[in-house]
Amino acid sequence: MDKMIERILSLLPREMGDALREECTKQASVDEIRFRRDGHVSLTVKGESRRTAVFCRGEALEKLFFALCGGSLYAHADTLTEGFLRFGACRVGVCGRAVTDSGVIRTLTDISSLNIRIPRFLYGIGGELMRFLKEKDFRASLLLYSPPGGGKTTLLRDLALSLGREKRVCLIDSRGELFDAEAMSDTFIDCLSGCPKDKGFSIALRTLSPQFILCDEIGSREDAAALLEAKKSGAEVIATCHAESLRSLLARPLFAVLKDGDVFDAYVGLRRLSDALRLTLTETDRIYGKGG
Amino acid sequence: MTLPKAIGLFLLFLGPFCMGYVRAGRIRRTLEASEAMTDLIRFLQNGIETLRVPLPELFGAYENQPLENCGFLPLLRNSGWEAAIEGTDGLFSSKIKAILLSFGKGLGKSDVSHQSDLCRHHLQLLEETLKSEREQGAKDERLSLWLGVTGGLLPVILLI
Repeated sequence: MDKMIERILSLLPREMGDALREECTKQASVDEIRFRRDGHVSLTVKGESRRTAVFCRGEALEKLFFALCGGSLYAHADTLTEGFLRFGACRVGVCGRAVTDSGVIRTLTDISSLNIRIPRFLYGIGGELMRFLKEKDFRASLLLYSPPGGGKTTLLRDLALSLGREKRVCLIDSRGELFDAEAMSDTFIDCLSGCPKDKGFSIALRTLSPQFILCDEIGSREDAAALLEAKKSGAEVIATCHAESLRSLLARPLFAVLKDGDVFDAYVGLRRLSDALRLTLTETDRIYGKGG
Repeated sequence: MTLPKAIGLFLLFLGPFCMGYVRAGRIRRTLEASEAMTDLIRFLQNGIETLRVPLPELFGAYENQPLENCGFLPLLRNSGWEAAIEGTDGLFSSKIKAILLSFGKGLGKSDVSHQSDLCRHHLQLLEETLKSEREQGAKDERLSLWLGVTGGLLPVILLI
């Protein structure tokens, strides 16, 4: 049983925890555990949702939510306004009623569901991309794309570790999911945890002289501007974003900006197969018809 | 007066005196613990407002000898606020205990701004209650000591 899943189950009432443990052990690997108010707990296994026999009452959900906050809701106020909280390396999606003040979300209340994403720390899956980067003499930026749950964060973490053994890497870990303290100790990795991406890029470029900057889930204009700035400053960038296909990726207005700025040297599509990750690397030279 | 009689009279004095002394000490400790709670709540308020430190870390970082000695802090670190208040029964007066339990009900359950208000409100309630308890406590302490002394001296005088 995954240590993180065990840790989550220990927060539940004993009977509920034992029942859910039994359900989880039946599965090869659990990607997500979803708790819904007055509903059955469901597990996401290899992208598919499976309902369990475990029922979650409202009171148990509230107690679980409070326990995931470490008894200190205020310590998670910033992330709760974006609909999630961090529990160790897990990202917990939180659905509830937003309490707003002048249009700004102050907090969430009346929690209706929790989606706990179990991180996968898989190392060695980025070998193909490391070979590509070596061929380019580590002077290439990559954009990893896939639909949600496609393995982008897992691959990004692996690349960070592989690169961090020989290059100066800055991880902009705004959601606290990328950095693995145990695996990444004694490497050349600096981590800006909880830092918004645009600020993180600025800090990294001014103070950390990174050779690579890695960040997860770009999608806004601010992110695009930060990536452009990094590229102009001489740092290579590896980032991820949600996209169903290369076509849908390129159709997004954001990428017109990135394309004009020549930020990425290759787009890498990820597809989860039953026990592996399929990567499709497309060099931007081929897409945009440049020489070289 | 023979030696055994003198020893007996001394012991006769010592009993009530010790009882008065112990009672006065208990009153003093109750007041010290209640005063320390205002310090603890200020400490929590500071930690929450400035650095948003989670409660378990704040509980672990707080040091106070009277609260440590009476077992409140170990209970707080291991079992949480409510368990610590209930587990040190008799340490606080019923009014102070009610205020502390009310504070515990809201502790950690809202954003920084509401936590700040919670701390401020309960500190005010505590200060107001402590003001009258300090005066009463001082009187009770003096009374206990006097009763102890006179309770001890009276039978000695009568027997002499």
